[in-house]
Amino acid sequence: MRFVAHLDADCYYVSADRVRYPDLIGKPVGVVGNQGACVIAKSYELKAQGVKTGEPVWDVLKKCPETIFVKRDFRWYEVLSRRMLAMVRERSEAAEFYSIDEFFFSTDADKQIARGIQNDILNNIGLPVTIGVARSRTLAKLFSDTAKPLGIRVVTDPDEEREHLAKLPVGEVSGIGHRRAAKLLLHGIRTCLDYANAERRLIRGLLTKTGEDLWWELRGQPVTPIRPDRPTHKFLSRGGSIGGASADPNVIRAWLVRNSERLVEELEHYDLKAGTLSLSLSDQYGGGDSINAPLPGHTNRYGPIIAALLRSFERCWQPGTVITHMHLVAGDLKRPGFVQRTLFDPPDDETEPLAVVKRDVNERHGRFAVRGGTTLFIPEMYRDRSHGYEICDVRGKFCF
Amino acid sequence: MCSAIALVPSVFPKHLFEEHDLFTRVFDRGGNNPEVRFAFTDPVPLLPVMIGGVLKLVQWGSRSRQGPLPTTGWTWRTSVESGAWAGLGCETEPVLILATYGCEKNTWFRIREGIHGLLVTPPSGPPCAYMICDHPTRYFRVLTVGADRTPWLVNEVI
Repeated sequence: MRFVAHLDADCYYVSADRVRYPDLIGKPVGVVGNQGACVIAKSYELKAQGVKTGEPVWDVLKKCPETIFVKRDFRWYEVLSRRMLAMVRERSEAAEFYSIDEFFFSTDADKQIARGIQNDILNNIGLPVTIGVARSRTLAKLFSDTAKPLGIRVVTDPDEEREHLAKLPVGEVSGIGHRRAAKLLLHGIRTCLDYANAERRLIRGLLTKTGEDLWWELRGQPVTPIRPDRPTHKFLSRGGSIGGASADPNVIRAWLVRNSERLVEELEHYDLKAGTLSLSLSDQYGGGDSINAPLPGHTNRYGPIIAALLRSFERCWQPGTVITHMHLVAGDLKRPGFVQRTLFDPPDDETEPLAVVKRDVNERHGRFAVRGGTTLFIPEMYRDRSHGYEICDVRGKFCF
Repeated sequence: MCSAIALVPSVFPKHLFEEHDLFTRVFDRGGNNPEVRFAFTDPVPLLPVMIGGVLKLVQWGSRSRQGPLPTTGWTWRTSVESGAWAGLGCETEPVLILATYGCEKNTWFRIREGIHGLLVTPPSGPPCAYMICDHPTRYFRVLTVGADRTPWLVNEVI
């Protein structure tokens, strides 16, 4: 019988940095995120001081003044992640690239197989990983989470499974956050075992189909199979913080161009054309606006996309409003051969040769070597190459 | 800016340890992985620099108000590039300051290769090294909670 294994790298970003900087081993290390403000990963030494992921640097320093901060480098993290994935795929016929530091794969209940993979990764790459093996992916993830660091937990016997589930709060299940856990508590559901023993209809009523899927999985019935390939995207989005609050229209437009260029890159990479486009802007008070940017038809060309976004931006942004975040979302994605033509389609894009040249130059000389002139208002984003590669640029994974 | 740096001890030849009593500068923040620290506020401020392919410890900037040297441990990159140091009548030479970690405003950060420095040799007196600084990126300003200068790092921007 085949089971599901969940492999999770232990404090991955820190471990990955320790591979190339061994001097960091044993020291309190925090990896700092895109804005330089918050810790996105911490070493166990830092965790022992009470530091939590997402904490600002200045709070971390109060708990541990000797912390060494490392700037994130997603290119490096991806290199090691793909090496890990390749090792797993050598040993399993089906492996899923779930996130940069987590994979699911099919395996036997033999602990030695998991141990072999763990040792291979540790000895050849230098990364410590934990592996959980169970009857479903939700169970495997739960068990690997409780075996960290550098652990292996194989639980395939239903009775043993129930023993473990009885000890775990229901909030530990991936997909059940604080709000859902609070909802379940009103019905006396505290532990994972309570959840698995609850009435299916109750769970369905409370947490819809997503909750019911988890219910089946906690009972050892796999609902979601291991997916070796990522299915076609339903949406593609780019955006995030604009590197500090700004009310300068030139700066905001520069970010619009930067994010559009990144979105077009993704559309081209996956060979998809967007039928819908939306622009969301968040202001300094946590409010904001989201607006559709109508496209003339399905497209993955920069010209019509930036034109639509700039029109929408002029409509939804009030001069003087301080913007902190921006998101562009492309939807109704279709492959070029599957787009319904209409009588009123615009003529073929005359800027196509320019786009080809831009792509070729950037492939040869580095991302953003040729870019929109509007981005000159945010020179810092291009001065530092590390800003040119973010976690969402790691392709093929399922989860952020 | 960068008011202190640290290095793994293994880069120092034994004679440097003895000559400069580096044992007093060894610090271990964990993992049995000690480091040697150099701060501008040390009684004897030193910087580890590569001169002619050899690691040497030289005085970090100048504190003396006598003589031609500016009383600081840092210099702007623009000053160096505009030739401002040429008017001092001292020999100058670009050097690599070896550093594994840097510290500014009590925030330690990992450095990949090192920091650009300027070795200045006055007509009389020993040579000293100035750390070259640049305008900080927003990232560095946020990380260090407001530093107004960043060390000019070798092949790296923080």
